[in-house]
Amino acid sequence: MTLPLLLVGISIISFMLLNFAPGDAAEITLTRQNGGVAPSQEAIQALRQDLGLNDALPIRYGRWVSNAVRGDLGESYRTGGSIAAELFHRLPATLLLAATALALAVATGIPLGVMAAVKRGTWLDTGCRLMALVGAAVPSYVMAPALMLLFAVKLDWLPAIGYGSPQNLILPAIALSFGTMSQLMRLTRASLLEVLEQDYMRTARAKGMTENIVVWRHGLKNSLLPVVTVLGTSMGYLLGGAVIVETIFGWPGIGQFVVTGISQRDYPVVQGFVLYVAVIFLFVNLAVDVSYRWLDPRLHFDQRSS
Amino acid sequence: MNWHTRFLAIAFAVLVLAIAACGTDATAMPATSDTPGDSSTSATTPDSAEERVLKVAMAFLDEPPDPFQAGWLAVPTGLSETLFKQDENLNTAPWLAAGAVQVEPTVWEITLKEGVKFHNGELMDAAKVKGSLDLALLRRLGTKVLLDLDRIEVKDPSTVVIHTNSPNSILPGLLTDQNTSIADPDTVPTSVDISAENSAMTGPYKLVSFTADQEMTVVAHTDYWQGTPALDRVEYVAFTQSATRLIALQSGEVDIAINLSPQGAVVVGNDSSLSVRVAAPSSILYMLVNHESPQMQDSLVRRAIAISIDREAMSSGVADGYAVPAESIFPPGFLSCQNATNFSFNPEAARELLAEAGYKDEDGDGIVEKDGKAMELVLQTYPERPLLPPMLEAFQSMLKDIGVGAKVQIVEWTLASQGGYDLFGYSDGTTTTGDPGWALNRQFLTGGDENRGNFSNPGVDELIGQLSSASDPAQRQQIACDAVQAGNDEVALVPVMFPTRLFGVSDSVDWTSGPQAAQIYFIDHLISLK
Repeated sequence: MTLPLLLVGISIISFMLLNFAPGDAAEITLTRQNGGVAPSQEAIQALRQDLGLNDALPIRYGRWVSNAVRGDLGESYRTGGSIAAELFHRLPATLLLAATALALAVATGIPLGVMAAVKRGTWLDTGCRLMALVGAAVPSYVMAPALMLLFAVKLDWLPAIGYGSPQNLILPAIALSFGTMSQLMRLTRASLLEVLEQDYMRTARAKGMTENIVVWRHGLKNSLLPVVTVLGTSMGYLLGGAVIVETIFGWPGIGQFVVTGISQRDYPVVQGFVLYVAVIFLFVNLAVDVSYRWLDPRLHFDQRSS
Repeated sequence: MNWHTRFLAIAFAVLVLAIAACGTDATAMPATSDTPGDSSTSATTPDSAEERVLKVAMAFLDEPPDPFQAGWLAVPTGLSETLFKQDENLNTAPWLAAGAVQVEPTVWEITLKEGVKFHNGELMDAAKVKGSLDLALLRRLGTKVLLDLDRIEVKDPSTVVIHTNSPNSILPGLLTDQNTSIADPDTVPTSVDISAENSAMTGPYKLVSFTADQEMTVVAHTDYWQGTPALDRVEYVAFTQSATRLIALQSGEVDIAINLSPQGAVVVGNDSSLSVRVAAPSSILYMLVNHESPQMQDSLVRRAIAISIDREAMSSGVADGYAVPAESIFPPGFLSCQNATNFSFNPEAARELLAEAGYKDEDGDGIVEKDGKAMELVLQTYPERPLLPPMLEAFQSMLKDIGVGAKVQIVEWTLASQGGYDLFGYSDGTTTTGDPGWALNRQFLTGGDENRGNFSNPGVDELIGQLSSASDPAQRQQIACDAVQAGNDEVALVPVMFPTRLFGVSDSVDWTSGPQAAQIYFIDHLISLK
């Protein structure tokens, strides 16, 4: 029940905010269609009538929701093309980048977090935490050009631009994953440190298990709950199109599409994008909630007993 | 070796191997798409050793190169051509036309060049030109308003006769407008809702594929009327960020990067394998004055604001030297009377003008007041022109020096027509047709297309009206000078600077022909690779 309510709430908020923004969508559309010639008031009013912009807000919202449920997110004011089709067309590029970035973040962030926790207080721990600090402090719009300058210009190891081959994916994925990697690393370290102090961990060691088994089989799994939560929100963020990274690298994903929509006051595009991101976030977090039961059986037992 | 050290060692080895294995053999161009509405037609082919391929990084590829709607893309990229063009001195010169004669005040006869072939091999003749121009008028309202034609007729296979609705002595200049490009009308879609980018045009290159916001590929038109193009293929990629275009140039993945920022030009200048090409300025950065704002009603205030700007500092500081100070809407040399120093920087005189208008700093806070109300102006601009936001910030500081408070807002460009500001940072071309009448009609005339601040002055309107009947070039220059002076006297708008258009070019490019001063001709049949 909560899920549909959340969706409705988000769509209402995005719809209202955009419609109260200054600028007349009909005038903007006609001015572009006319090649810069200011349209007459009659033409503006006629287009407003055609687009239904003169209808009351609840009616316009209802119309939009009714279409959205059927997969019709309307047409772009700028191109006249189907927004749903454009999002669908760009989704593979965003999925590829997001999945690669997430895999990279998980593959590096969690092991580094474990290492920092196990080697707490050593230079390894300090190095990892410094890396996490850099990842948290350096925004992607700084990281991305820095990576391009280093690896494409100075070292000439990787291409700076392009799409379609594995080497084109590396720099955007690194730029996108760095923030998430540092977040996962810090969280894994903190969570594991807490778990390592637990009595059952001492018991495991006392039973003669090796440190590797103690840490990886018992410690890590029990420390993953907060990490999985962050993974969920990270995935939502990444699937939202990683706007900045896509724009800098010219990656033909959803983020690049929505940036153009925002700058061109293409309301249907922005509305469609907000709804898309909201759906992604909600379903990813639903998956995260479901995964809790596997990670922590106590949650399952608690529900049974109640 | 413990597990974490082992992990680090393995991770490092994997990273090194992965990077080494990847290499930088080629930049894969974006794959084309089959999505409906996408106009790509075929996949790009990989470079071969024999092919001469030029790669260009552009800022925008957001609409297909329709010769009637997106001439701004079709013409500079070598796809289409117009009957006339602007030469290096911004004078109108024949292009697809051989010449033009105004036989009556409202009648022009335009003779066409012989032997021009469209991309489909068809010969261009008067019937095709008439059909193309008719389509240009039909498919774009802006073109119809600009040309204001009654009808077009065919006199003979090499001559079209154009009838204008009113006397028009600058029609050839108006026909340099990129949206009047000539395309074979038989290849243009019947429906105006369908883009015409796949129609047969006359340029040295023809379209192979286009993917919005990503790439465009063109190949040589081997039957081009001026000779076979020097390149086999040109590949365009779009990056809205100028830093990305710069990096792509530095890494060798593109040969030309257009619309560099002034800071990017400095970087390119320091690279021995690259060079900066500068196109002489023709567009202007200026402040629109909202003549309906209460604070802007007083001409003394407008003049004080206009002379508070240190234009030299703007050009050298904000534009890093890649701009020319502007005291008129036309660049130096465009009009014969460009000696006017209407808006010389003089903050002292600006303060005196404000005092004369009743603005004094009575509370000593550095901001002048009138009737107890502090003077605070709203400055707006849009971000798509990189120099505009920093220009406004510098302007804000200069206004503070004369006691005027201001706040800067970055908004959508169409808000320039909707008030809500005192001054609006704007950019526009003023020499597009090579004739001053075009810009004066747009900027100074009451109700002009770009007169978004609603400036209106009967004297200025009358002077501009005289241009429509003046055919003698010297007379037109004098009238234009008088109109500009009259507009400046009323501070119709506040010119600031003319930015130059910056191209970063690899030394592998042989480009002796460009870029052109008119900024709108870019890829021609001569550009090549060494």
